[in-house]
Amino acid sequence: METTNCSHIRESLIRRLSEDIEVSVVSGQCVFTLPIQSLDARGAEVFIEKQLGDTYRVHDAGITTSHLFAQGIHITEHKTQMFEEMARRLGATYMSGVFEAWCKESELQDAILSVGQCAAMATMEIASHKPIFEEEPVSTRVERSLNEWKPEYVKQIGKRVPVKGRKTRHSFDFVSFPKEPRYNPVALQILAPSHSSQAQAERYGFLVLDTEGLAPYDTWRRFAIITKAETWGDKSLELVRDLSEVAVPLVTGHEAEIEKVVPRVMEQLSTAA
Amino acid sequence: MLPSGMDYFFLVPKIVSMTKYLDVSRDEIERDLTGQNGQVEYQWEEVVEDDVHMEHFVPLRLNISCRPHLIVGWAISLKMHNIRIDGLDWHSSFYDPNGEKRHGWHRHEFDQKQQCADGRRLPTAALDHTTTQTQFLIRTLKEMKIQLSGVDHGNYELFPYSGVSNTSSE
Repeated sequence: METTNCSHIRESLIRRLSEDIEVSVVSGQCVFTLPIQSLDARGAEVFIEKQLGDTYRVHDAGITTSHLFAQGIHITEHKTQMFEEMARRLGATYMSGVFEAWCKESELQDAILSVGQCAAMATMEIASHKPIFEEEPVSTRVERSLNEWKPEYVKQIGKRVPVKGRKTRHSFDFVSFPKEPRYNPVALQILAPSHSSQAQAERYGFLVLDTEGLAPYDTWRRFAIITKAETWGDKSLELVRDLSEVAVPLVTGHEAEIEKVVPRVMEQLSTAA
Repeated sequence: MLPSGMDYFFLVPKIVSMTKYLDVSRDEIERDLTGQNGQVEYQWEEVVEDDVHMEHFVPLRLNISCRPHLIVGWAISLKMHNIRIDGLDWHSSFYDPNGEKRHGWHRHEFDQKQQCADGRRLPTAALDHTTTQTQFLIRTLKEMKIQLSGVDHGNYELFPYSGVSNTSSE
């Protein structure tokens, strides 16, 4: 290829890069959108914050980490170490979810490109991010088991049955209502640890205590199914057990047991004297 | 028996347009954000009826990122099958579905063909002039039709379960 052609390509590339660099101001900081595409289809955003004297803080405002999290990519300890190393090699740092570089005015261009490159490269994992089709939810298994169990003496199995306590309204996931008073209604609650098993146990405790002694709930037998039991603390499990006629802890991977346990416990509680 | 690992992507338009209920209070979210370095994820199951009135228990997750930097770095998303199906965040510039260049806060719209909401960005004024985390939560959750619990069960951090009695004099 002739040198003149190469120069022409270089010039047009410079023109293109120049046109694609956008600048705006957010909260008093310059924001540069660079023509470096991330894998979530955006230009790398770099913020420039003037500090005292001739010093500048160049950073991505945590946008990269935040957007990865929003897309379901959690920054594990391993990924944090990888980002730290990547940033170090590119002349920046990764700290508290932010890619940043501190520099003097004369080094601004390098810092901007460095942070921009980090922000774009950190999205690499998006390429391998795939949907996860979760196992069938426990509540669906429970519902199916209840419908298969439903004996003649049960008039109806209600779902998300509201109950009015002394202080507030609650709901049980499922309640079986018998046709005749010699059978007991059974209230079934599925307790997932969510973000705190203690909080879940205490919520359940609030439901039970808030409705305790109130008709018609005082005749309902309580059946708790505790999911991901391996993540629950002993005290939380103990609290749920104390507040239920039957509490069944289900360890992850053993959810299929629901189909055996539910009919057996429902029958036991419905017919108990 | 229903198959495990059910694909609920066909329900996304319904899920996005319906009101969803997350049994966590706003105060609890704010406490969790403080305690978990500005990033929290909640998981719950939503009952969604399909076109033939069959009910599905759909596992959903809400991801909120409010790390203590610039507000424009905050993001919220609703996920299903570990994929974003709705959400709001900020870019200094982006292209809307008509190819027009836009700026600022935008909502991610689910693309049935791509089976995610990462690429389609619709500008929104819902977050203009947002200055606090509380405003961000109220406005984004309203946009995404996610209702929270009105009951705050308090700060469990006051009585953390650690295997040690709360009355310990340590």
